[in-house]
Amino acid sequence: MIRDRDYVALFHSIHRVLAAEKHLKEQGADFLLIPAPRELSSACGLAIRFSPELALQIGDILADADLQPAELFVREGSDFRKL
Amino acid sequence: MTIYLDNAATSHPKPEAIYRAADRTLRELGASPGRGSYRAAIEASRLLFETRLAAARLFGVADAARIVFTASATEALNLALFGLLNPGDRVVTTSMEHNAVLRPLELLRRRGVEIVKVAAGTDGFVEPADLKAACAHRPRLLVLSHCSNVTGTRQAIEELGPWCRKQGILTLVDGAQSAGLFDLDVEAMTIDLLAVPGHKGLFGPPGTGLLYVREELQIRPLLVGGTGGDSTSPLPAPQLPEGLESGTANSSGLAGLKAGIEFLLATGLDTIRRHELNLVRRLRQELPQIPGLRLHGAGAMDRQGTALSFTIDGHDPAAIAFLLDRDHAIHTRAGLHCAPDAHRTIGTFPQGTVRVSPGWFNNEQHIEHLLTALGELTNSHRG
Ligand SMILES: Cc1ncc(COP(=O)(O)O)c(C=O)c1O
Repeated sequence: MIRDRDYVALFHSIHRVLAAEKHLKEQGADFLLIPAPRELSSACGLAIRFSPELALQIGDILADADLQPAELFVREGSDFRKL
Repeated sequence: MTIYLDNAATSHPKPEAIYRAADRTLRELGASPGRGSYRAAIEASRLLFETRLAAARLFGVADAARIVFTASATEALNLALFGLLNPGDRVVTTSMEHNAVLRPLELLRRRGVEIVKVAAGTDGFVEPADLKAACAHRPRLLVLSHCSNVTGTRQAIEELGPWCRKQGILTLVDGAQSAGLFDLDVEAMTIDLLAVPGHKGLFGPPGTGLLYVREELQIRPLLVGGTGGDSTSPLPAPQLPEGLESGTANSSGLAGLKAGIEFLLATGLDTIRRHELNLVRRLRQELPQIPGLRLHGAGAMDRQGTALSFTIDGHDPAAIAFLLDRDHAIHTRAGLHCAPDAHRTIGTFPQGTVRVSPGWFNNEQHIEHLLTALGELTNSHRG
């Protein structure tokens, strides 16, 4: 479900992750709402995954809506690196 | 056929979409919002999310995360008052408040919070100048109902809100009798905290309510427990809305509330207001024609909400309501309506009044039936 170099954004709030989902959908962004990976303690159980090429675009869309992720990770091999 | 005229207690009946939404959710959505990440659980979370968005639209709230769901307006008021106030704080309130405000304030008073009550006139209206004078000693909070549940009188929130903001005084508005009827825009009216029942003017099922908390205002939770979120920390994260919503949400109720708010938005508050206030206007005109009847409402129509009280000389209000029900199947509510101070203010304590509160599903015939019934009742019981 999460490929190497994919980004995983956590919001620590079910309300905020769903707000982010709604907003990204409205902007036509390509992403997936996924269960938060167990290794990343998430406060809400859900996360938003996207591919590295879209990191800038998605980051901007979320920032414009004041919906910055609480934490952002990138998948590296079998690990997640916090950004 | 019964005629329900007690919409100030809870609205009845509800638009069809409310029953359907609540039923469908209870029947088909086997999941708890925020708990689990399987599709049904996400859908349940989305339902809460969308209900929040709908409520935010209705009350002019920019960030829907500032809307916290509660089981009632009572819970929302308790959450606001206990979540905000500390010993040594001062609070200004009015003599028209419901026990959902009075009683939490009494508990807080016993814990060292200072309470100042400003008296309304016999029309239930509290002069803004009197409230401002009482606020001269810079209280932490002004708490008042937008509309009285006894007389229907609408207070001058539109003037008081901006004034309080300038003075650095927080405002908590009890919107129990105005939400879904009058425009309640928290930005335009500069309201810091707004408590609203879901089951009255918003047409939701019982067991629903909400509190709006202005951005940057941090209040303590009334309940703590599971939030579905980070289970390892000793207390829930304080962020809204989750931090103030521990425990399994009332999904079916909130689905109904969402349908109710959508009904309101689609119909238009102005349409609803026009219809309901037309019925109230007719009552205000015709009730005083009944011999011995005294009306207890706002001074004029421009301050009148949908609740209206009356008494009839020589008749016990409880007996009137009883006879209206038994002989005419008309449902009104007699007594003190959980607002003893309001009745002291308007001079109807302790016997109370008969309260009539028309709603969206009432029509002119219902009002005519009531007037005829009251005419008969006062005739047959005279002498
Ligand atoms: C003015 C007022 N405040 C608060 C409440 C309490 O609302 P709820 O029944 O949702 O707790 C009511 C209604 O009962 C009311 O009329």
